[in-house]
Amino acid sequence: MSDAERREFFEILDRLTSLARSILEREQNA
Amino acid sequence: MSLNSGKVDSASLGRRLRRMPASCKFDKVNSSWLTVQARHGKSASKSPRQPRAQAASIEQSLRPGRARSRATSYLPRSSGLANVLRRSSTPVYGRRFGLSQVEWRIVALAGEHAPDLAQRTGGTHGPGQGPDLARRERAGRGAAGPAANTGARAAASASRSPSAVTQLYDELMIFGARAQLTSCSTA
Repeated sequence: MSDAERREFFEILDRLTSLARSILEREQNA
Repeated sequence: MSLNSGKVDSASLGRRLRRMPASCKFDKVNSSWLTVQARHGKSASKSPRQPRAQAASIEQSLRPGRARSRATSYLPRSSGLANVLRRSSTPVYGRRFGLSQVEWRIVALAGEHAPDLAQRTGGTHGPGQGPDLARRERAGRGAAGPAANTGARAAASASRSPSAVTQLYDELMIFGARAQLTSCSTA
């Protein structure tokens, strides 16, 4: 895996994590 | 150096041992001498029974920090994501099915391996179990009380009626997929 691919992969992971965090907050407030 | 190669009398062996530096240690399992680096190196200290060549190759792969940095950068992100997903799914499954996190794991595992489980246990179910139990689970009327204990009952009945757990598992999977689609479309 090249550095660019790794960066892209990490960005996807970070986006997924932030999305999951927002879902978690919504579930906790529901 | 191997003790098995050729004839070695005890006197000559003693002389050779005395000539060895104090820092050397003989690995009795692998019949080889451990160097100071192998004894105090990270890979050797974790598993002293590894052959010296194998320990050296592991040290070599770790030395540039490449494998270590890769592992340290992947693991926190992926485990953090898994942790947040687990925490967000737990209240959903709790509200919808009355499943705690442990119960959900049991149902997920039992449902995934239900065909094998059915084969091992004979695949039969008595009255009040199997499809009948699954119907009652869905209607919120369990065999022993309210639907709050659905997971425990499903897990307990897994060995007796794998088909009931399969149905509950399928229902959970469909519900999870729908919830994912809904959250993605609203996000």
